[in-house]
Amino acid sequence: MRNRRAEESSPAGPRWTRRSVLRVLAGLGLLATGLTLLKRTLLRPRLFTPSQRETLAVVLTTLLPDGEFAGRRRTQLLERVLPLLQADTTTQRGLAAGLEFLEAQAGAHGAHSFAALGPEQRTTILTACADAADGTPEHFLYRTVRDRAMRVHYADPSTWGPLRFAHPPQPRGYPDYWTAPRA
Amino acid sequence: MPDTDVVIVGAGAGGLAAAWRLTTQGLRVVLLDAGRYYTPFRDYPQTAADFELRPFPYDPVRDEAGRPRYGFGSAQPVGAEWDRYRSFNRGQGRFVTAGHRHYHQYAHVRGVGGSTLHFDGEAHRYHPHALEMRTRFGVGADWPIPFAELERYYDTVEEQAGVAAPAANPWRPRSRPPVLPAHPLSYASARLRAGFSAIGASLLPNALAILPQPYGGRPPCNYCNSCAAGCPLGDKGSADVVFLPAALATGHLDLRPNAVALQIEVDARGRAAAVVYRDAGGTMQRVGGPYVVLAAGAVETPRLLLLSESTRFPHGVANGAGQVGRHLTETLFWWSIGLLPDRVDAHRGVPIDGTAWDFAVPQAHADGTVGGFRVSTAHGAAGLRGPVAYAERLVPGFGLAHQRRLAEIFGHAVALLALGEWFPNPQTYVDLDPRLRDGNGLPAARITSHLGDNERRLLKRMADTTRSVLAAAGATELVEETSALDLFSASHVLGTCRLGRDPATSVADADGFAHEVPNLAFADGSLLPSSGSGDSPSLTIMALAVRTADRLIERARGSERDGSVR
Repeated sequence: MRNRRAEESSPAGPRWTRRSVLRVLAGLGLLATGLTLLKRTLLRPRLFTPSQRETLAVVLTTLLPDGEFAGRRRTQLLERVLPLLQADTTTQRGLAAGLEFLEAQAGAHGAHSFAALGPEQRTTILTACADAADGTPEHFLYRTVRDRAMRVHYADPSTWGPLRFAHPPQPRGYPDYWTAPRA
Repeated sequence: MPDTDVVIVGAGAGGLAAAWRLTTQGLRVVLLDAGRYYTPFRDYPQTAADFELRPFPYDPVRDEAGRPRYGFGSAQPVGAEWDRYRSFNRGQGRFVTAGHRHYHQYAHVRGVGGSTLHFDGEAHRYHPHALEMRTRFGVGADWPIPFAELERYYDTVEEQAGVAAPAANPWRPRSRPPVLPAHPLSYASARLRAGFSAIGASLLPNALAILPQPYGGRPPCNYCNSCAAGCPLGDKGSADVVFLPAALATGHLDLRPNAVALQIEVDARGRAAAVVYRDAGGTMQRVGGPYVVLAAGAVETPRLLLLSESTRFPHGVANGAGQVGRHLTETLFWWSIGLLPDRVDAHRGVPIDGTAWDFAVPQAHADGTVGGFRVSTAHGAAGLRGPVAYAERLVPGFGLAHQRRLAEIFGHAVALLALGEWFPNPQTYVDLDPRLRDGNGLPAARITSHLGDNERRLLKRMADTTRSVLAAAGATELVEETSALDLFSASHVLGTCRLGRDPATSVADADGFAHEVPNLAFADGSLLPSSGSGDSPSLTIMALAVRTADRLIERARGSERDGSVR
């Protein structure tokens, strides 16, 4: 029987065997997986800190309070809006700067955080954000959070009752479209 | 042996209409489209609770890799003297805070059916005088086609699509009665009739390729008001519904979705020889035939011509006179949304159900402004389809006051849309973007749009009219207005390979064939030399496409007779 080991290391140079090819392929695969994970880790938007999440929850409560109407808790707004707010790094950075503004304003109102303020003071600060110049961090925060919150919240049928809005367009349509709305 | 008789690029309103005519007359057609085939019930989920967050499933702004689809040129300044006419809404404030127009979007759809997949079903005929603006008013360009001939093709496509329209419309005269009776006005629109009457105008049911009754194997509309998100029933006359089944039934149509045309090859005689495209699998392909028809829309069609440089055509195919991409026009737009004191639930109906044509006859006004416009009740087209639109756009602020106000006004909003004529000018055109590339590494189209003084004056007139109608109807508050004054947001783009008798000022001849390339034809909005008086152009695009197809058939049969066919 011929000596396979001797054959593999023959003076003619290295020869590709099935095993060596598999080794190289496995190595390349591991390298690609590692690079992909590294890329995802580096480029993935940073999640909001617990403190920032708490402030955002309070912002949402101020925008859509629970009370006589369905509020942010009823529609689980925070859980549904957060992924939208941290979908990309540019938005998240802009929001982080806006959240810093809120905390600074809270300090000016004598509180240690925005979350510690009363509803009236929060409303005052958010109104100032709404009225701020386009392009400022506070205006960006207000527009971004308010618009996304309104969209997600009122897309939930549990909010439709007080509006007397009945159902999505399909499959029923509105064959009574030419009649007066029902009381 | 050529691959086929005709290669068509683009399966939208014009491309499918041409394919239908050609295949039903026995010609073999290869039809390429850069987009996919949509399956209505799967792709248009208007049954979902979050239906307002689900627009038509195609992003006209960015491609799958997140790149902008189009480049935009210089932005026109908008001075403080126009502050009363800036776009705004009560929920979000002014749309454009900069001192110049903002390029928002070219609302085009790639896919089998093209932009008719998200159109609101409007099926308008141009006024006969709209084809003679140069002769009558000294502006724009005349069409090299008599209206009587165009009207025959209107009849043909209306019958195929099943157009529902008023029997009598003195502002859009017609020789034959409409195919189907008009849809009654919605309750909300009927409520506005008094407002129109107060300014001496008449609100008529709109002309629509939306079925009020079963027709051609299609079901009637159920008035969900969501045409722009895609019609799941198939009652809306999008091109894939109207033309595709009959064309496929002939066995002569080879439809190739997800096929991105990259270049038109020309032979030594300067004739279009083939179209090079990237297929669904990413492989480069080439398909040739005696005739090539471009129907990719008024932005992508000139782009493809400009991309196709050769020794014979160093500045792009059919562009020897530098006319490709020039003469871009749109329909001028002005929206006003007001609140009525009573509830009307305008989320019910069809998106643009009524139109006043009183101002939509091409005309010269006393102040020197030229051009007409129409005013339509367009609640669904304005997106007034549910609570999200109200909460985000129409109610200011937040908190308990916002929730209370929303409950007070929900169902009270009505929308008016004025669309008017826009004449071509040298600052408004399509060319190749010097920086932006598409997924194939090719230059993207660049759109540059500037309003002329005439257009600005007409916009003022349109704004004053919609505001007057709403006020006369009892509207208590304007809650949103948007306009072409500070926003470029266009779907009716036209004129970039326009028809004309003079090769120095047009790209296509009276038959719709390129002056410089005798076997290259056009079947899309790029052919239209003028934008009418705010008419939606789909029906005219379809009519012209069928007419071009007939001319192609005549040429093909003539070639067979005299033996010159390749």
